[in-house]
Amino acid sequence: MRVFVVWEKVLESDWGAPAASVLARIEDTRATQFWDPGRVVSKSLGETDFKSKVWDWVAVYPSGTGWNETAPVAVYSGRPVEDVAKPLEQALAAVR
Amino acid sequence: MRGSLPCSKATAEQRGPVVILGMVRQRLKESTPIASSLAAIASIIAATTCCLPIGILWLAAATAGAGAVLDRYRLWLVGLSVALIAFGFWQARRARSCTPRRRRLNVALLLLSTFFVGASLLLPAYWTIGSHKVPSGQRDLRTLASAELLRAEWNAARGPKVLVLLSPT
Repeated sequence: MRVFVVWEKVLESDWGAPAASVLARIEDTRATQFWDPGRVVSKSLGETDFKSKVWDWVAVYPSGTGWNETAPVAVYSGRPVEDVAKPLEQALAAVR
Repeated sequence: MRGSLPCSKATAEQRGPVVILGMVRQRLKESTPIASSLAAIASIIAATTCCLPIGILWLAAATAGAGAVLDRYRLWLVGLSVALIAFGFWQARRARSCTPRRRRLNVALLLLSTFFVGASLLLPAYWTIGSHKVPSGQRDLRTLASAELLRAEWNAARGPKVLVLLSPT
């Protein structure tokens, strides 16, 4: 399994890329972390205006899911992240 | 009208709920934007339970907390917080009818409010300024100028994938 963590500039207080103390919250070596100041990932997932920003969001994709011109379709997605631990675990168990 | 502003008639014991609500507000503020707005409501309740300077104090703190929900208006809310604290100090200075003890308490609470509002202003710096080193075993943090870099890594990865989008603050 691989985890792609994208830190985005969403709030006015997001002055810059996350500091080491923030990055340390994701310590698993299966994770890869990115800084996305222009929210290119959010836009590729459908962001069109302020209200449609995609953030504090997690999605699960089965093995072999590619990402080409359009973003892949998730088998599970939910937000806010801190509230969806249980369905996320269930979705992960289903795709493993 | 100098010296004619009302002073709190509440005793220290009666201020108990205000202090407790303030503590609840701080706890909530650390969790979620929704919690932050609940904390703001708690602060407003606190403001109604005591005299005006204390109300100003909590209102100032509440506007800083509400910034998480009303991020679009963050700069205005931050400005309002600072202005309310300044007004609180000005009012505390004018309230000559208060006992010295009561005035000291007002100033102490205003200083406490200044601390919390200041912390809420400076925390983004703590979360974003400085080293961007990732935990050991991970690839260095990279900036996405386009989705291409993520796509390349994504398509090269095997097994199930999880995508997480977060704000640093």
